[in-house]
Amino acid sequence: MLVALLSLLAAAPVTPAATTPTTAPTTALAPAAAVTGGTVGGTGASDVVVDAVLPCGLRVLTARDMSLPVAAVVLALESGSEDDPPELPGLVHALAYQLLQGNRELHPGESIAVAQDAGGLHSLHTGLAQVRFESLVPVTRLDAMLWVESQRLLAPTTAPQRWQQALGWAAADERGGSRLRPEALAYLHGAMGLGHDGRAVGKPLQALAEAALAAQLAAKFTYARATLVVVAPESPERLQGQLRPLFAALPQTRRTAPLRRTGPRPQPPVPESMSPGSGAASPGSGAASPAATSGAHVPESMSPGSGPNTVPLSRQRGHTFAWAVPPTPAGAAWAAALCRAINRQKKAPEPEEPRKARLGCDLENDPRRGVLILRPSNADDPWALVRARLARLAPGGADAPLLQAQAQAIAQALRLAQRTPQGLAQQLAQAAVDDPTTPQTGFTRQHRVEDLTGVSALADPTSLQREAPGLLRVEDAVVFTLPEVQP
Amino acid sequence: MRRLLSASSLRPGSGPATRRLLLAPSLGLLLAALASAGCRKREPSKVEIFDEAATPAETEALGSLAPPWPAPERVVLANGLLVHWLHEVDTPALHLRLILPTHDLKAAHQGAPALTVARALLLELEALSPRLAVRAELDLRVDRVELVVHGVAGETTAALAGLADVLAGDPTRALGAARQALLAELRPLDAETLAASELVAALNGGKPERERVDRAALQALDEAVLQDAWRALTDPREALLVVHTRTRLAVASLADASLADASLADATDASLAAATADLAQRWRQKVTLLPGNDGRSEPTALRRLRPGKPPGSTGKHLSKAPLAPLRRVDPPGRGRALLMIGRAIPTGNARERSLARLAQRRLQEQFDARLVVAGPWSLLTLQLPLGGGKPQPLQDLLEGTDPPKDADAPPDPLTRRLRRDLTAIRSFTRGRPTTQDLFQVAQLWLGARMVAASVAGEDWSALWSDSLDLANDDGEIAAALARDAQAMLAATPEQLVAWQQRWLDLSTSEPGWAWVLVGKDADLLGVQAFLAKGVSFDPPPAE
Repeated sequence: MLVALLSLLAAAPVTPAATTPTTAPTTALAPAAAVTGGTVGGTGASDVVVDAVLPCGLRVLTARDMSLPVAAVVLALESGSEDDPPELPGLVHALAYQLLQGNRELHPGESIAVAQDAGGLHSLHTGLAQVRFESLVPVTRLDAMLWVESQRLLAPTTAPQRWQQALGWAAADERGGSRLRPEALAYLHGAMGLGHDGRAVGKPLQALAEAALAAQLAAKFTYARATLVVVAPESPERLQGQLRPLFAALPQTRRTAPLRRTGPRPQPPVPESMSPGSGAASPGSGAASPAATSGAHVPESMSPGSGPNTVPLSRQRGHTFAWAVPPTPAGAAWAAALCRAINRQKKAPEPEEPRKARLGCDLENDPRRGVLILRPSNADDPWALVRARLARLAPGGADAPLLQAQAQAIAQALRLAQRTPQGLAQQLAQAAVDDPTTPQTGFTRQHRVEDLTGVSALADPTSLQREAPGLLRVEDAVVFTLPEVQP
Repeated sequence: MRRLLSASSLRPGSGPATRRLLLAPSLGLLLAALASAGCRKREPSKVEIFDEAATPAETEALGSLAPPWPAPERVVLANGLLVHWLHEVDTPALHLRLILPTHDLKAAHQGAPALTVARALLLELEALSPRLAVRAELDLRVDRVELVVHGVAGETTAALAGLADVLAGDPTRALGAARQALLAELRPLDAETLAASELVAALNGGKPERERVDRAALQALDEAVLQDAWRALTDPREALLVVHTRTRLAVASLADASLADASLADATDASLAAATADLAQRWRQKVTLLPGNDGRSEPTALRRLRPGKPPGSTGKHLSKAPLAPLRRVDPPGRGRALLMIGRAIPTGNARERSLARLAQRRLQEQFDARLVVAGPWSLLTLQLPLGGGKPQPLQDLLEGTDPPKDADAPPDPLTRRLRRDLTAIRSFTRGRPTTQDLFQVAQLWLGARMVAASVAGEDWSALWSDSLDLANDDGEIAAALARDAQAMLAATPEQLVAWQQRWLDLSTSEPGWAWVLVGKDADLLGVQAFLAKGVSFDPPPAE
């Protein structure tokens, strides 16, 4: 059971996204500790993450893992296909490949070779709102890998032949496998930038001039919107000390990584005849708040629906209930637990539920733009079915213990994934979203790994309401359905 | 090399792992182990720390690209099971690796029966998953099978109980299911598998049929043989259990009471002692002739796992008398013809093992070269494909033209290409690599080993299994990976060239070679004639 969950984690990281305000006090960065007594010096605890923002705007998370002499290095850039200009769909995805082509310091492919020539691994992950360069190297190659990451974003090459090659790689990539169409995803998150194929490689990209390419690279990929995660056998403080000189020569910059909130959605008209049972918007639902809808527009393929949360979508089969998963690690972890619980719920006896009624859940674990999807089938009243199932999972409901058991299973899976440097680094990279309430320059803090990655929150059943307030309410879902035929 | 269980290593870079299972005959009998049975008072199991050789310090281990594990515990349980217990602070994971040697099995139990028993054990362990968060794997290695259970550290006690359930239970149903599963999974033997089994048999002096498992052998198995094979393979007195978890086994029972301080006691779970005692109580050898003798067992792991007698040398050469007989095998289906060359090489110490590995890794850059290390002996094989594509034209790199035609060159393109490959291998073994090249090869091998282990879940028991093959005695196991790495990084080009000329040079190396030709008769007539008097080489280029 848990192992199957782990394999799911490996295939599509369930790892929670975004950081939470830490309860640990802000501390001054400790000087690099000396190697004493045959052990690697510094903080002995392996559950501490040191979190700092360097003067150049780069956020750095370091943690220790002493199981094996390997180190994981992840450079996560808070840019994704959501940031593609409307006239250049697929730009960020292709630019990510361009960053493998080197610059004045790195020859093409050198960033890959540094890892692979020492028996390590290097991979590129592109998503809706984040691009990650992930390396797992023997610890003897850590210095070289850190140097690569300190050079990667500095004036990447814009040579036309390199760009054409990068476009070829991008075109060969698999297309996104979201269960929602781009326009639906854009509407759900209130982010119109999501309303296109983020992996398209078209003529506009091929015709991009060298100067424009340089400008786009400089705008999308800067250290000020990046997070560098390092997990190695060294102490976190020592790793910080190792990293700082590599970025010391960069100009001082304010951090600019965007916080991916759910934006304003266009407000569909509410017919007077709409019954509350068909999905009235709740006043507390900030995501769909009518007050926040100014300026947004409805995608062309969607027309205003028949209710506050109902969005008619062409070629849509049945009803699809979708929630934007909060971009916090705890929120994502709770969404994973909730989805597992829904898929394990036993059907209520008739007449409470029709005999053939089914409800299936899918979770799309994008680190910044996650989606929880429910698909009812064989139900005369899908809203009633979804509402009843969610009510049973709410605190005090008949299936609340089931939800709690699934939360524990997710917590265990996250702990097992965090056991390896690569797994921990991936989770930290996805959890590292800037907290707008804290200063974004020059801080150094410590977190517990479990706080940062959402594991702690799963131990507290009441935190579901706090971390993911809308997920148990059908009123907060967006329901995509086939448009009714107008007479 | 005798009793090759898996034709290829799963280590990085050693070539694609074959799924064919090759099993070799056993020369030893379990009766020998039972001969000295007698009545004696049983003493409680004593947990010891591996302290014969110092475990490398963390910094040394990390710098050597070896796991920084502390000295593990070991204990022989009341049923004769040897346990090696690896303790890692705060790890949430559990890994149980049950290592069952096959070299002492009777000939009738080798091959298909042993494979069926191993598969049955896997099925039974997989059946634990509904009640435990575990995943089971079967790992086939030289002279042994390994059953691995991956779970969570919080369920160590329950996993041990599950293991006891499996080993103490009636295997009849599982054996039947395992045979059916194997029959469904088994694919027809391909040329590579046939060649490997023939080659190992030639090096052993055994029968090739015992080195492989085919459908007919599985179908011919009867229940009594399978039951006997189950009892023989799951004899706890021959087995080794490696545990990697976050708790210690039993500090309180340590002989050295000073080690049982508070910090260690904190990491000790009292229930583990009860779980291991339960395992020992329920899992007993089933063929004991006299009562009370199942505590008499070999206390060292390497003596359990390694055959007592090393493989002999064939005493043959490939290019001069006495010439190794060229075996030819007709593959049942269509497949690429190939020539497989191999030999057993003594690798009695870290330096020899390192040189063997470095040579294989460098050869691997141009040819399909594989090395299986099994303690003091290793098996090196070279696969040379015959046909199946156009030979690469040789070009003069300076002039950009083909070299002049050699008047003595064989007319058949197949043999021409083969002779060119053999010449390249001989030249390779005589060429001196640069120090930087050697260092890079070593770094790549050592780094990839650790990275692969990390990606696979940081299972120390798997690395411990590797260490078993690299140690000369039990006291060296904990430090074997570090010593191996240090020896590999310290190897010099001169040492490597001398070693290659002694063992790999096709003209001048020590005898001990064997070779096998696999392919259709009609395709290989020319090749057979070409190799009839041994290998020959292209003449050196004119000055």
